[in-house]
Amino acid sequence: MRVSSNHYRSQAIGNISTQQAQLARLQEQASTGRKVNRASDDPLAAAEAERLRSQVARSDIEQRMMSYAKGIMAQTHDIMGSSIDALQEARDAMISTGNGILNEEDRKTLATKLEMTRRELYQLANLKDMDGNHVFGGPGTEVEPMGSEADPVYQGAAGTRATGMQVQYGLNVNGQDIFSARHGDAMKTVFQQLDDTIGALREGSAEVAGEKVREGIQAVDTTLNNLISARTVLGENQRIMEKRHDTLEAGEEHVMRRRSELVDADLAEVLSGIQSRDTALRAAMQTYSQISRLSMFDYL
Amino acid sequence: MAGLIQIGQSALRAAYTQLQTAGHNISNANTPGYVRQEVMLGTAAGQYRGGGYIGNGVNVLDVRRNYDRFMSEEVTRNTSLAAGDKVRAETLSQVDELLADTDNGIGVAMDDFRSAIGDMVSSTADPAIREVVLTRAGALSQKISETAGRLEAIGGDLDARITDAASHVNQRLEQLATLNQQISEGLANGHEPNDLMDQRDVLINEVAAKLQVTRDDQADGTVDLYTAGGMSLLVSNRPARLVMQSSALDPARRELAVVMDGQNLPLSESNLGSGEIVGLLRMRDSDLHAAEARLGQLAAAFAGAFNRQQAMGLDMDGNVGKPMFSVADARVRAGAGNTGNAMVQLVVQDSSKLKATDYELSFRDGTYSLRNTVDGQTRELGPQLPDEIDGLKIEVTGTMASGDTFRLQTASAFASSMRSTLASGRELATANPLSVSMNRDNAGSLKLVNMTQQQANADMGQPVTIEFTAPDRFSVTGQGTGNPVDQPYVPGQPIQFNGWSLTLNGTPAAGDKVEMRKITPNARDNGNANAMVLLADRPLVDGANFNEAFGALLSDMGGRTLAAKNADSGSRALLESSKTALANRSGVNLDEEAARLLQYRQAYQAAAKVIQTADEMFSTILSLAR
Repeated sequence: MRVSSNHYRSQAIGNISTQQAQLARLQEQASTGRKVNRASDDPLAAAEAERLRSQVARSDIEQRMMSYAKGIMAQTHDIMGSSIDALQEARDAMISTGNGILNEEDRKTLATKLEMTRRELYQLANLKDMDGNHVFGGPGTEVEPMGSEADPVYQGAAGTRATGMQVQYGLNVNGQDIFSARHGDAMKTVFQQLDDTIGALREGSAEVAGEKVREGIQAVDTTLNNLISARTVLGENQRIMEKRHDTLEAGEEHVMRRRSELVDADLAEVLSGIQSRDTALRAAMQTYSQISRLSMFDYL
Repeated sequence: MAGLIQIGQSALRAAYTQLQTAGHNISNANTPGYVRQEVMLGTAAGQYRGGGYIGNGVNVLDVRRNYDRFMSEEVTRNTSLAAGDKVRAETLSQVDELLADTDNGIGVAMDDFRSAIGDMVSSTADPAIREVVLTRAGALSQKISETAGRLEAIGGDLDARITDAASHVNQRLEQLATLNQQISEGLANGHEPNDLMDQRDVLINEVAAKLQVTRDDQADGTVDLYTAGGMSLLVSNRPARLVMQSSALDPARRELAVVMDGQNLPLSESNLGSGEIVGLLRMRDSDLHAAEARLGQLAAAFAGAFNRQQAMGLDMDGNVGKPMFSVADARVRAGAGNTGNAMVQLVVQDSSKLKATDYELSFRDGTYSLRNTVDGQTRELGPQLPDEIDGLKIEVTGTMASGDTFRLQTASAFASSMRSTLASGRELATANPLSVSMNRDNAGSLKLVNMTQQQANADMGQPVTIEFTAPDRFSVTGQGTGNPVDQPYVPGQPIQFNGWSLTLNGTPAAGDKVEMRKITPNARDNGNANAMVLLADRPLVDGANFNEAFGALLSDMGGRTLAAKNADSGSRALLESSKTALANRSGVNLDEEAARLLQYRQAYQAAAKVIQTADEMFSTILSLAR
């Protein structure tokens, strides 16, 4: 077979540059640490990796929401705790003097005591969390959720404020659900009931005062029950959230691993590939230069 | 004796010609397209003398090329194929690289935007977080419109390269016409002008690299060239010209045409075969077009989804949300040859149904047909256009004439100028239009489960009262269409009115009321923000979600690039092997020429020896005579 000298040379050079291109590709994988550096390296893996990345992003969003919720819930929990303490004190005070055998001075002392508790409770009921949202404000209001000091009724809407994606994490409580209860025919807030009790203690007869104290105890008990059950729900939600957090993290780890399998280079494989290509390229260069030194003209 | 000298001379001449030819071969060893030449020798006819035929030496019959027409044509064919595949792989790689940096890509920009909305769901009233949402909306829009701009620039580049390639072909065709002339004149001497023929083959291959040609060798030594579709490019000494002109179907589109003898014949990608120009045209009209259409589809669907959600909520100041993104309008171009006076307008009715394609609308014999420009599928639509097709409404005013065509640039147009349009974070419509209020005096155990706005509605912000007339019946009063009266109430079943949906639990007492009220301003309700953060989970891009649609763009372009790269290396290998076969047949081997030099030098010396012998014999005879 005849071989064209010129073509032989250009072919040899072509082969060498092909090998160099393959080496460069491996080197890219080694330096980026990825085997899929552009979609054409593996179109399906690239699309899948993109989908997985956005799954991780979605899970991150939910985790950010949770970590936010965690802080707010803790605050809500604390403020409910303080409210429970305040109510408990009011209840104890009313119970301890609760036999109707109250002299005027005792009544005044109790009234003062209840006034302080009521003020504390009213302040707690209108507290804001660290993000400026009312703890008892339900889905959110710009005004004090429990209204004015003089007319303490719930101003907000139904429901609670929540964050989350599909799963919603309640962040606060609804003042109406906690502080309002039916007394007889009418709905009253615990503040209104306490005001009635305080008024009766100050101005009413011992009998009326005793009656109103009983009503006060009843209202406080209802509210306490509301608060305690709301706090239990919140605690339960916190627990569910922790679990969900763990699930998300595990899922995220799984997705990251899967993504890494798809797009990340196996460095050991890449390095050994580089090694063997390097050897092949050296051999090609060496033999080419040896063979092309051979010439008939040397012997003419 | 004179005979011997002549014989010696003929041998000397032959050897010298052979030496010259070997020298010519050696000098042209590296000349592209050079075909090794060989001297054809023949014995000079013998002369009859008494003792028989006595030889008369050697004649140089011809200097012939070591040419193989089939191998050469194989190379020409493979040159076209390889050039087309190469340029397509090259240009597709540009798109591939454009989308390659997925860590800074459109997908990440969409996720970042979503993440900011997620923060806004938590801290709805925080102005800083709202500004972050807008910044990221801007970054995403910019990313998409920038990518569209880059694709458009690649398209502009392709047009410029096609024009360049066409003028390259035109120059070669002119040179070929001249060569045809010279070769046919040269042939008149009875011998092939070898070097001119080599040159011509080189030029033909250069044309073929740009545009596939079929050659037709004529008896007079000239070569005619045709396109793969059979249009004449070169007839004897008359070359055709390739021109870029605007298409009759779509004036904004540039197409290639062959002009010969005053005739202008447009070439379409389908009848061009292969070659660089064809690779570029395929890239422009099919691959790049598909990328632009997919990106535009995503841009329009994304913008549409968020704008729709904005319109379902209230911003911080209690106003219904304004659109959050804008994309470019669809464009319509009438065919240059239209004879009717019809005008066409496009309205996007449902951005989530848009397909990743443009369209060609044609009207013929009273019926419409619509062709997808990306997959080439045609739908017959009958005499009336449907109200909605692929999420679009096509409105025709005026009268269509049979044969009229319109290019509807939809998907490929949208992404080019995507913008984020809100001026302030306050304008993000994070709140539901209404809040639910349980009447303070409700005696039953009604509880709110949730309230969502499901579609924008003119009356969606109107206050409405739901009154329970019995534990299992309710009536709705307030402004809105068709107030439901005395409806059955089932706990957990949504109550829908004015576009919202309210789900309650528990049992009401007769006379209990739920009021849907507008609490403004209310920056803290995050009902609509929550709907926004969930948009990315929904199939809002023709059945896929946003990230899936972007993934499809990636894998479509990656798949095309990979296929083009494989085709490129395949056709390059084919070209290499046919070139090797031809080179081994027609190329110069220097060692062979060196050996031949040795051989011809000896022949030359031997011939000289013959003359010397004749001379010596002559001297001997002369000395005898002395």
